[in-house]
Amino acid sequence: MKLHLGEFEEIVLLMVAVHHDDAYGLSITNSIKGKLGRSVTLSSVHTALYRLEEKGFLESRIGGATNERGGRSKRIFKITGLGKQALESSRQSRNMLWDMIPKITFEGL
Amino acid sequence: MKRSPPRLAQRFFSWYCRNHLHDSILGDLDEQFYQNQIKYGTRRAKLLYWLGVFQFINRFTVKRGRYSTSYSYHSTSMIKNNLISSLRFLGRNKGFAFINIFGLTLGFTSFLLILIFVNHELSFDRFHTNKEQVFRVNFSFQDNAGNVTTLVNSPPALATGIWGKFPELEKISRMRYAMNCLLSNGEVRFYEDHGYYADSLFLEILQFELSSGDPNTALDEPNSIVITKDLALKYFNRPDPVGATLLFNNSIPLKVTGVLSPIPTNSHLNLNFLISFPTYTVPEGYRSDLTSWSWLGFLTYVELAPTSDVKLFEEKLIQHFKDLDPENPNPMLPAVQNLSDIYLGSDGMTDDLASHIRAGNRFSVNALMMVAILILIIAGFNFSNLTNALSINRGKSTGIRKVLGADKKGIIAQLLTESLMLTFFCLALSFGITLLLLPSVSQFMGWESGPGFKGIFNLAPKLVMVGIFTGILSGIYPALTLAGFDVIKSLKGSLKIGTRNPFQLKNVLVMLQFAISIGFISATIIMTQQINYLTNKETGYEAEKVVLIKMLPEDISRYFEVYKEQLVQHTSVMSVSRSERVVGDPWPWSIILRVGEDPEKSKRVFFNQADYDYFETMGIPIYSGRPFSKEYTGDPTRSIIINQQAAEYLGLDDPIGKQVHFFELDGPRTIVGVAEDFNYTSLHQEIGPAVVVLPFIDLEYMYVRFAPGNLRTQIEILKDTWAQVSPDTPLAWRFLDDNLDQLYQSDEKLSLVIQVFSVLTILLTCLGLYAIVTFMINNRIKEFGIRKVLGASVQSLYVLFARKYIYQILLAMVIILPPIHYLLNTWLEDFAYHIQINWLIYPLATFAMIIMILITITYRTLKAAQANPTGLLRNE
Repeated sequence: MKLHLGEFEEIVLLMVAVHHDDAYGLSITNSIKGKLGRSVTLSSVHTALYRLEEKGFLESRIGGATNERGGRSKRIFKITGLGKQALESSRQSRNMLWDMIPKITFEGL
Repeated sequence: MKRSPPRLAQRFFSWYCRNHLHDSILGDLDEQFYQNQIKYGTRRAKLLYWLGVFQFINRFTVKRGRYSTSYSYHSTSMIKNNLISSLRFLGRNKGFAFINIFGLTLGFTSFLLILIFVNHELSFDRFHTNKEQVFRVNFSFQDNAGNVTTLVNSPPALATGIWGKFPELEKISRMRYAMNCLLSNGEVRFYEDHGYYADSLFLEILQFELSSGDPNTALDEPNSIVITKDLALKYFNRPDPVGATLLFNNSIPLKVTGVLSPIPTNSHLNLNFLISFPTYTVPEGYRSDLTSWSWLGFLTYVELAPTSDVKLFEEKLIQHFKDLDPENPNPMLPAVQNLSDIYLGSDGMTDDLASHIRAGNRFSVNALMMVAILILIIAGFNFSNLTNALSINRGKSTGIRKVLGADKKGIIAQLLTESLMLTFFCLALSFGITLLLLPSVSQFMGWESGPGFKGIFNLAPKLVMVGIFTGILSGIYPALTLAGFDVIKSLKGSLKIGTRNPFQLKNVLVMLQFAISIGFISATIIMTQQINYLTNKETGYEAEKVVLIKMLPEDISRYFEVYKEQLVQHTSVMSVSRSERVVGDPWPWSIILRVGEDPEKSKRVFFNQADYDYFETMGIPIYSGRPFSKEYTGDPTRSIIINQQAAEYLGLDDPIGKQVHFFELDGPRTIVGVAEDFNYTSLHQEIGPAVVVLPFIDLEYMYVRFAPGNLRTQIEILKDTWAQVSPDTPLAWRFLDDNLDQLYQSDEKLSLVIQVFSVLTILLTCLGLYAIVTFMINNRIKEFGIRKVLGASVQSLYVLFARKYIYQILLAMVIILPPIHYLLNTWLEDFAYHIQINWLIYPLATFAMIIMILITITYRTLKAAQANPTGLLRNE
């Protein structure tokens, strides 16, 4: 099973996890902009979400509609077990690499 | 205030995204819109919304075809089927296929040829890589009477005076046109023109390619010359004579320091050779030197630093000139002009040196581009109308297709495939024809090396666009009509196209064609009239039988009296004279003032220096007073002859004997004669005040007026005289009227091009109409039969048919009249002497159109009207 995540995909996936029950396109876009200070478009977040769903890291359901949305329902995303595995493996490989860095490398930087 | 998201963007999104994602995405977009509205305001939010809608186009959102599983119109087998049925259909209607293909090919070929021309005109000087930074410094001058003269020339002190004063000025170079030039290498001796003296930086500013020699140093040393490859072959018979010596004007040896690769034909400077500037010495008799800030006799090119502000530089230059002479209320004002703007943007500027700088005409470029588009439109309309008329014939096949399951889109796809296929076939055909025609067209247009094949292939992407555009636009209307046919009716064969609605698109298209054709006919008539008017207009002098001889001024001064003495002994030589400028070339200008008047009243006046017998030789009548004469010893320095315009300009009722100051306002001169007005420049300009004085410098043109008689023996006389008097001096002569014809060459070309295209337009319109009428008749053949049975005469049937088109033509005239009248007036206004547009021309053009249309439809209509009604009604 391929568990590879792109850098942006990883951020989106993490955001879905962070938002828990309120993870939909716009909320994630706003959080990435607000919390990480990264400029990102709605469409690229959506595309990432669909790609993650295709890979099986996310699942979606139709959620609540509000007035600001012209009465249109949201698509709420939820992380799957596979998604969790992917995040964990990504974190592990990162930690492993951090541990492998000799102390001397960062001295004096 | 709360506004809702742009409706159109929403609809666009809903159009391309119609799947399970639609609602959630649009919801997010709307929600974001309201948030943005608070943050950035409505306008920005709307823009972002639109952006968002476009950004969402991707593989997740775009809807898929609903029939993707069964069949698709894009599949190869479907396209193949479409092509086959189109080919069969065209094969069955060969005549119409021919008209269609012929018309469209004609349209495309015209379009292509004009596009090549326009591209060439627009490409001038664009080959210089630093074109953004290179500018020419022009000057304008206003005299006390308010006449503004704009010149492309600048004073010699400019380059040396401002060098180093402005930080943005990186390079500067002046040029002086080498007016008289005799180059020789041993026995090889020729008069050359298109040569300039140029400062050492010149080849670094205008980076013409050198095939040998170093552009950075070639013009550094005095007595250096850079020549084109053509000249190298002419004088040295080898392409690379660097280091060799050319003798200049019999006296100065010049070292060849570089060889120029052929100068592109799309360069405004048409160079043959460049001589290093220090070689230039101001000829004797000139009242200025190289430190002058007011002698506008040079060209100055500058290169600015890449990011500098041009407007600011221009302002600084203007300030510099104002500071030079703060007292002067009307200083000369510099203006910088970008290199790529020079060729088309120098209309109305004069070149005091008459140095053969190439200048284009933006109006004719635009006019031709419009002609190209109009022809393409007419060809497209024809195509559209023909296909539409033909569609009745394929009603049955369309019906069957529909029964077998084709939907509207399938039918449209099939018809569009067909029209695109035809369009591209015609495009390929016209591409071939253009390649064949290009050499002769280039020659006619005067492109020496021509834009060549490379020029055409560069146009290929544009052409593909035009092809797709034409194919779809002209195919879409018939396709929609056919796709909308009722299945049952089309199968039963009881389909009728053509309702009585006069505003049917087809009728509108035909009418527009009529309008364009009438426009072309009127333009042709008026342009031909104007050109005839120009060529027949009294110029005030008689150029016929005058031979113009250009020589080195020194040589003329040395030999002139002897030549004259020898020549006038022949009975066929009427008179001989010489002058500084030829009529037709721009004359220099200076200042004139009546003696005793306030110097502030001095005015601009054009002048020429000419020898005794000038007026007689040129055939200019003296209105009052006398011409210059050797009997009066004061004539060379104290007399002046003015034209009638100048007399009026100076406010003199009786000018003879009055005194004026002339040229830098020195020594009073007495007006001894008034010449009748004559046109000293081209007829584009009005006759202005002009004066003639006896020469104070060496002159370069000599004239010989011959009596009527055999030209060949007369030229022999000329040659014999030269051989006797000065065997070492080459003789270069031409007829003065040939020289003058060049003035109107570009006008004549434009007029001819319009004539050719107006014939093509009319041909296309008639062709299209012929096809349409044929189909209308086929469609109404039963109606004709019934009318005849009920007693209609042949004439009444004919009138019934023709009447509609006559009405349309009349309406077309009303539509086309304002724009064409405006355009023709704009063209005419460029000439100081032009015809007045006679309003009768428009009805005349319309009448011509009616006649042509009647000729086109008469044969078809009469045949139908005369047919036996039983024959028409029997086949049911």
